Amino acid sequence: MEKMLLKRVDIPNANDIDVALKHGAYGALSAAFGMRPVDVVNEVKRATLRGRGGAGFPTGLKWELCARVPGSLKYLLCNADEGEPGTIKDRFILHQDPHLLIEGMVISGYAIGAERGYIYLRYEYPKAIGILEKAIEQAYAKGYLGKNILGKGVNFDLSVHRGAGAYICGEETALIESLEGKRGQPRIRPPFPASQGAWRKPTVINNVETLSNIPFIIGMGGDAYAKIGAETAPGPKIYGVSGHVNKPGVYELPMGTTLREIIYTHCGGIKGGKKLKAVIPGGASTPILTESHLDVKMDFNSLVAAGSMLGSGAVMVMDETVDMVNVAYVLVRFFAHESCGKCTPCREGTAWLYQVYTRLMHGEGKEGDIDLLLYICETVKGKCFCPLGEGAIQPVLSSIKHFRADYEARIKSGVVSH
Amino acid sequence: MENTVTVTIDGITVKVKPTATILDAAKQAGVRIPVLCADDKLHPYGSCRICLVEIEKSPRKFTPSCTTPVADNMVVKTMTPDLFEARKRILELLLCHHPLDCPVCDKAGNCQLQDLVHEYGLGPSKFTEKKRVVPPNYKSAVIDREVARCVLCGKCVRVCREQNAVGELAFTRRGKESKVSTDFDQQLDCEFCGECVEICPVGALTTKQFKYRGRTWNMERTQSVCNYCGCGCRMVYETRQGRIVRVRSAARNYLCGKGRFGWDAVHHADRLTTPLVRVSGELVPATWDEALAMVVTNLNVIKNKRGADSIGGLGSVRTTNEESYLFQKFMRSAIGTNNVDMLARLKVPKGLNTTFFSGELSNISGHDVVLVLDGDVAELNPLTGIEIVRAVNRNYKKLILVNSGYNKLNRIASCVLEYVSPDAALADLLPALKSGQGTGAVADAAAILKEATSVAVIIPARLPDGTYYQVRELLSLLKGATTYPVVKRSNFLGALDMGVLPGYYPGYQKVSPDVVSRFASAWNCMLPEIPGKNALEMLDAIKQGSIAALYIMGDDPAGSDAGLKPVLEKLEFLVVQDIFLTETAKMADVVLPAVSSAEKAGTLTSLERRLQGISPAEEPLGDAQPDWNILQTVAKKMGSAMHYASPSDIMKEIRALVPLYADLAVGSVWPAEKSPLHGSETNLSLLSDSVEKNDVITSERLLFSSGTTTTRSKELTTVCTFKVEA
Amino acid sequence: MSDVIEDSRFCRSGGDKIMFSDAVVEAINQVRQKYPDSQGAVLPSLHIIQKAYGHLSYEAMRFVSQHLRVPESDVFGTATFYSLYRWKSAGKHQIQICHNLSCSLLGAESLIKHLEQKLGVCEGQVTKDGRFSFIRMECIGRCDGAPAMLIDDDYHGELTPQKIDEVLKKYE
Ligand SMILES: Cc1cc2nc3c(=O)[nH]c(=O)nc-3n(C[C@H](O)[C@H](O)[C@H](O)COP(=O)(O)O)c2cc1C
Ligand code: SF4
Ligand code: FES
Repeated sequence: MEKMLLKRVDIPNANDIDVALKHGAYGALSAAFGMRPVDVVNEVKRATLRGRGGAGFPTGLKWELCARVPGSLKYLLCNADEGEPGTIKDRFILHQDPHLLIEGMVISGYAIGAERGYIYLRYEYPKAIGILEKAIEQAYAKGYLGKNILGKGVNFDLSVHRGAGAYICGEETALIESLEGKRGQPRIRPPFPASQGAWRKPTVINNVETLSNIPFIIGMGGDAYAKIGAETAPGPKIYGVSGHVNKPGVYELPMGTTLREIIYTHCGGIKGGKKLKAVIPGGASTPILTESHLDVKMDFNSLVAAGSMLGSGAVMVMDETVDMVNVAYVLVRFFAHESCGKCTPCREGTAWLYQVYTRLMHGEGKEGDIDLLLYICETVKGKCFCPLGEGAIQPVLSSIKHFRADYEARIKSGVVSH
Repeated sequence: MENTVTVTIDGITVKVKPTATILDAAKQAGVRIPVLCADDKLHPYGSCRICLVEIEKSPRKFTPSCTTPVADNMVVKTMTPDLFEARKRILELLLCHHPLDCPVCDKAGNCQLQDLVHEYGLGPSKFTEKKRVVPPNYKSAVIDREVARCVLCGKCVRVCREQNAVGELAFTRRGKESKVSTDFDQQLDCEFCGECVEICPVGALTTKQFKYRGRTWNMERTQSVCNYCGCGCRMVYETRQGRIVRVRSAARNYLCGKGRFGWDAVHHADRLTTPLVRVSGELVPATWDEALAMVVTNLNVIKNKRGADSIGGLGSVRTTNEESYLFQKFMRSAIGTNNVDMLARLKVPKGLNTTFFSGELSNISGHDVVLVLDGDVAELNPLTGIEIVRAVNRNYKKLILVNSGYNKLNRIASCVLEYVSPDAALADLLPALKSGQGTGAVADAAAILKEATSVAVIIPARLPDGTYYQVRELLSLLKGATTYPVVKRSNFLGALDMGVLPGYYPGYQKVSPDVVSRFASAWNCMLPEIPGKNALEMLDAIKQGSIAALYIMGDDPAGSDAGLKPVLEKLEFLVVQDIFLTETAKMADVVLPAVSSAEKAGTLTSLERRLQGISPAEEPLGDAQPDWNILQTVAKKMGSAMHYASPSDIMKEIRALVPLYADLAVGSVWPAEKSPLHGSETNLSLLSDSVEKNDVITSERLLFSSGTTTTRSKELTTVCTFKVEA
Repeated sequence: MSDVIEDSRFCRSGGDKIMFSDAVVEAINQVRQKYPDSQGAVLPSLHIIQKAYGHLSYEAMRFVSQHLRVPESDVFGTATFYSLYRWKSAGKHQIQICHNLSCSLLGAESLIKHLEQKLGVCEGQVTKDGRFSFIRMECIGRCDGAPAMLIDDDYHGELTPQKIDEVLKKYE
């Protein structure tokens, strides 16, 4: 497949507007402005684009909800928090091709009727802030941002808002709170952001990769776009691969490429010729899979059927030497650190899990600890305010399900690690 | 008619508003769902997860009922084995790090966590890891925060913001380190309304006042009404062995710091317990007989020598309706003069009770716009403040604020007019409303007001002539305006209703031959035919020497204005009835010890004109007696026939003689248009431009100011000193 | 966990009082323009102060609160929610080393031990010469170059103990 999203990524200095323009940036703008906003929304609906941030919500539908709300003050937020461990895809666009994102945002803003946009950028991307601010400045200078864009009477202002180190701010309502200068704790839904989001105004939040798809949908038309990749969720998908593979990195492939193809064809197989033990297909909060799942297609529905999730498409590969207790410990530590503290099950449950894992890591595992871990997961399950808590128990449940022996060995031997 | 949806909760089908939550619907169906973080006063929050329910055909196993709106034909189960287990697990999580110190926790017996744990029958926990290190307790002037007991439901944080607009408390840190803190973990430094203590489901917030004073199940409770300001908040005295140990709001209404913590003045060492009489220059204890004989003899001598009109009476804005009624009856029938008034009339908005009748406070939040003409309303009438905040924070209405300073209302106002005084602001606002002139905030305010179809106008506590006419004009320009005047003293309105006025008999019945003869026959006595002197005229007359004796019930002119001391010194004879030895009492020839509102029965009339009853929570202290009883004893000794066994006897007489009160039920408001003064422009305030210039006016007092009672509250004075030091 | 926040840490009233330079105030006023209300500017304002003075403090939060007219408790609650606001000075160069899964699979823990030995400090501490401090980070989005770290704003990946030694030399 020819690269779309990452087309300009390998071109030197593509984050400079002149270079980007030479390679087609902002080409879809005038086409989009030639359409009525509602037609832009319909085109995206026809493309059946599903969000790339993790939840996979149909983008056209989300836009339609917001576009329908009367009134002119609306916001478009780009979710560039990229906090899910293992996820690296948005960074490539932010660093190498910011104009693709800006173009996507201008079109999206036009479609939903928002004249103000923010890019919520994680603090851990210090390089991206400079690049984005420069790109925005250039886009203003060339008239792709600001008032009366392309002389078509379209207005769109854009700025970057930096987070300050909180994974939960990737969750869309927590992101809004954080943008408003508050603690990044999720809000109650309803009201949904599409009707009352940032500053209580209708708001659309989309992932960097999602927004970057928009110029192509406008360019090739929704129907053509819908023919790419998996039927249920078409389009190109950026997979970020890390861990024990020979060639970690980002790969733009049709949605629905199998794990095997990603790991063995594109990433050159497992490091040192070792055997694969486990793979996390979509970031830390997606259940761990095993070798037997290698032929699963990496798209929303197929992964759910296999007992996991596409999440952000962040594939983390583990070879046969890995002790899955360590893996679960690292991820549980992460979730306990990132729980926002609002709801009881996530706050107390992740903290408890972390305490038990710390014991295991200190070689103080006890008979019955596996049951205890399962008990805590059951306690958290289905009760949390937002998906973070639910995600936090996935590494525990799936590692015990597939690799119980690792736990038993750990408890018996009392090996100390870390 | 509003459309409804049909919801079935545990087999009970109810019709509810589409905006209702499942929890609301369950309440309507009479089904109890346990909650910790949900509260009717607050926006849904959904953090504790105790209120989970199951919805038929839902993709989710559990759904929080407090945050989930109903849908048509929804079928909800609130108790299944799975839900029971789920809630049990949540409770287990909440107890992981909770200190099990119930024996020394003030909340025991009244703790929602304790009750739920008991209800769900929690056994030993699977949690055997180390308990979290308990952070230190945070003390403050009146409220202690035991952070380790906190379940992070956030109700205190939210009530402080959503209801009070104070924002003293906030969540800080993250995850398991989350805590409720003040700014920078310093001591609490807020309004000390104590609403956070009241709303806390566990023992994380407690009051110093109540510490180790009793268990909730040992308490006797007396419904009453707060006697500090005109809002008339309903409250409950909790007593143990006949002593008050705590005050709480009734039916979980609001109480401010004065109402909640100020009651300890009742037990202050300065309380008068015996009558005092002046013997060779000194006030010395006396028996009631001695003291009353002295009162009667002196008043009789002066009356016989110089006429009844050489005696004046100053009534009180704190005593009950019955006592105010009896006071004017005493002055008119036993003394024989209409010289009866209240100094407090100097401190109320001009036009109160005729032009600016107050709407019901709970209606404030229903108006499109609230216009506050003077920023300090929330301090003077806290409940009015709360209703203004509710309008903005809960109902998303607009607030226009005239304020020269900066206070909590500034933060929630849509538009702030920074002017030194209301008249300056109105001078700009009125032309803007009339002809669209004006810029900036004035133009914004005018635009908002023009759009509004109903406006709540909060009338400042003082309104000199000039401003009065401006406000009149403003009201004529607004659509659907309702006024809400600020009334600082608790029973000011009641005292007016009861005729503590030189020109009116109770119920605003003007001194006229008809009225006088009606009262004369009812009271079976001779009554003076000409109106008496008002409070200002009385003070003048004292300076002039034409008033020689003054009978003061429950007021302290010398204490609130040192300039009045030399005036009072001119008197030949001064009687003071009070609960403390006030500055004025110190000057008296006879001091008669009265009881506080916690020790007597009767009724009060709030600024909304709502009749409300108070009940005694304690026995009178020492030899002190209720004002009504003192008055009737003096009257009897002066030859008047008064035989009341209780305040309700007096109320019976009031109902017979005062049409306004004839069938006014306790708890209701008398309708404005029923007043004989309705629409008559009569000014019941003594405040006017000329008086304003006169130095007789006492300075305004704010929330924790030096009032006769507030300064005697240990709690309130600690707050004061603390605030000064901080 | 090492990042447990002590309660006393924020309450340093008095002591090293920070004067906020005109440049900082100007930057805050600028950033305020980007938001429809002043509270939106809380996070960026704190970033500006942290950048200018190395860390946040009681005074910084109070200043932001007063300048933006946001209750102090709100600013405090917000500032302490996020993990990358600092309450004491970092070293001249702040090393942020990732210990999340991808990095940990490829040896992050042993690199952290190496760093500790090399610098002679634990997480969160500053070296004696003031040159370095280091903190552990959750995923820094560099999993493709794991194990990875940030020094100030620069990224370094595919780390080995040797490579760390080399890299550190470049920072004076
Ligand atoms: C705990 C949590 C963390 C999330 N983090 C991110 C993130 O870092 N980046 C992102 O784009 N979406 C993240 N999401 C998903 C967002 O909530 C949201 O679904 C997404 O930004 C919507 O954009 P999309 O429809 O374009 O995918 C997260 C969700 C949760 C629950
Ligand atoms: S699950 Fe609860 S505590 Fe965890 S992040 Fe979401 S709201 Fe916060
Ligand atoms: S009462 Fe519903 S979550 Fe707390």
